[in-house]
Amino acid sequence: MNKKDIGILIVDDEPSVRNSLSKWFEEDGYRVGSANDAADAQRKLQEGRWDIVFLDIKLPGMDGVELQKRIKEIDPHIITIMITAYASVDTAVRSLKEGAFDYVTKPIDPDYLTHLVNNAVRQQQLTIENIQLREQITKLHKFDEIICESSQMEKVLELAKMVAPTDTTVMIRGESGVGKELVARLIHANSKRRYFPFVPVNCGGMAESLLESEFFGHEKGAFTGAEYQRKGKLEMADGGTLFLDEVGNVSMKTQMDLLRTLETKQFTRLGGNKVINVDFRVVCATNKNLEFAIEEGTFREDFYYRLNVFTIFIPPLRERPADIPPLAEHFVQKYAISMNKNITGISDEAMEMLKRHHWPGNVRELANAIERAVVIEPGPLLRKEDLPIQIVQKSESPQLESLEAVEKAHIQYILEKTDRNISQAARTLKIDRVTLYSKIKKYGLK
Amino acid sequence: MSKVRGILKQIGSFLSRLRFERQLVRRIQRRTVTQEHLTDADSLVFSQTVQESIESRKPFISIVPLNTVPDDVLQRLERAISRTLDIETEITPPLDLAFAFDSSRNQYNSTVILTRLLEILPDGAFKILGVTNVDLFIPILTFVFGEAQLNGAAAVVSMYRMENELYGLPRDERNLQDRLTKELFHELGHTFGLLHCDDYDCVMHASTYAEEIDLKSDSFCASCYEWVSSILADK
Ligand SMILES: [Zn+2]
Ligand SMILES: [Zn+2]
Repeated sequence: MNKKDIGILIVDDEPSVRNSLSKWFEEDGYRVGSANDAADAQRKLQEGRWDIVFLDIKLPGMDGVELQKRIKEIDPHIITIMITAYASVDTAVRSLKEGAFDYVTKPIDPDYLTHLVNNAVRQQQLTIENIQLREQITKLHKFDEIICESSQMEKVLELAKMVAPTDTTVMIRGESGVGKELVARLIHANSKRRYFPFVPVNCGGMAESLLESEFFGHEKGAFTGAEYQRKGKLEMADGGTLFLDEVGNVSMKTQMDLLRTLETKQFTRLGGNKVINVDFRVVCATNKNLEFAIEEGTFREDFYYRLNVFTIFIPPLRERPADIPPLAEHFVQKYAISMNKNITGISDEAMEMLKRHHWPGNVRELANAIERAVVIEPGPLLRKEDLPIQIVQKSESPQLESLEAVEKAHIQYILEKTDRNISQAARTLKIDRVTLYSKIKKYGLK
Repeated sequence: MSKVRGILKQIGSFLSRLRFERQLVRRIQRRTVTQEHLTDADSLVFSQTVQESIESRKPFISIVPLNTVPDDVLQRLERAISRTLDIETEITPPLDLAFAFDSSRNQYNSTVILTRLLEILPDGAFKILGVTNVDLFIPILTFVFGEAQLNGAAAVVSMYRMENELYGLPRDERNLQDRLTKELFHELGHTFGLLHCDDYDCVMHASTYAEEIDLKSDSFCASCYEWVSSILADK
């Protein structure tokens, strides 16, 4: 890294400290800026990128410790170094607990200062590398959670590996819990963007305004409560992969904004007018019937075509029972290790039960069931009795002979498939909502 | 014997005439003397030289001893500058540093000194270098070897922290002069707009403690030298 690419911001109300430190670092070749109070500092932090911030503990208005906390909120990777007088060393030590890199006592020994900044720069580069490394580790970890023996999953992985090195937009479809994000990470890990971030956004279960700010970020004061500038996920994904999970839940307006960004590779933060250029690959996932949503008018057709370039469908777990034993064994091992329990495997009876279960929640449900079982089983084998009760009931997979039982099971299935969206479930079942409600009540399908 | 003495006298008067001529040229360059001040005889004898020097009025570097600095130290600095950069230098009378003294730190504020040096920049001088043996500081640091105006005219350098005695070692005049020369060139380099250089041998490499100064040479690396000479070429 070139020194002129490293920005050092000096925040101190004393002009002599600002000037002398600025000059010292300028002569060293760094890009230097200064601010005389917290407000000025926050403005500077929003206007440009700073890697290292020197902060006087005592500032007029907001004190340095508080400001350092805010800086960490804006960007946790900024390195903060507190400047203190002898009298305020205690405060400085406290700021270390809040995440400050170090503190210096005025006046500073020049050699110490030089080393401190060198270390800070090294630390910063390490942080960047660490993030990439950590991500790689999770990727590897996720990698081996894609455990499969079924030909269906082999096919999925083959497709993922094939499309990964291209920059094509990928849509991953399948019920919730089948492992769509794992496949998305696999694609990212095998793409040329792997050294840049993989940024997942869960589009489900977030208010529209929040989701918008999640995507685009916002400038200070963009809306009530937006006290500081915030970087959005689009900006964070620059160079890497943006993973839009549950993309079917994005509102029509946000779909339009996203579509525009995908087409122009440009956007502005909420409440701002500075154009920000981004370059990322999009991988999205949905468990919804988007074609149906288009017909229904809740999903934009142009957005759909933009996303649906290359589709990978992950079949539900119940359709690939061959994957259940290796997955189950894998989870037993994983949870036994993390809970430090001596459980070596699964009894035949229990395995039979697992294989017969319908698994509406797919791999995620299987993982949860096994985690729970590992908690209660003393060892050495996981037994049928350890498995959550719902499984037992369902795996008995009983009297489906009666029409009522079939109806109940089918409504249950559609409800899960539509993410318990009553209107959609009613439409799929071709009954009205009132009827559906009464049936839900009748069968106790909460 | 008398013949030899006569030759020596001739040589002596020739040298003194030469010295006078040079002084006159410098005074004219600095406009402390104008042509009108010259006697007819002077102008007759020196008119040609004077005329030439007025036309070419070469810029020079002013060296200011701050408090008291031994003459030989200053003269060695002059020689080093003329050797390395081929620039004329001129030593001014000493400047008393009382104005820059900070009694709370018992040190001298180098930034304050720079400001004063700029105020007394002689006509015709394009750089002014203060040399001292008092302890210098800038407000945020415990001490500095020197300070310069980046891309400016003034620089100051002190040998106080360069003295081996300060670190419990025997006094070493030669080493002290070397360190001083290096830091003087270093600060001078800053006035030419040079930043710190990654080349460990280059005088623009930053040194934050005395022994570190010994690790680098007293000359600019090729690229730093090129930068300085390109600026000097415009003078
Ligand atoms: Zn320097
Ligand atoms: Zn150099």
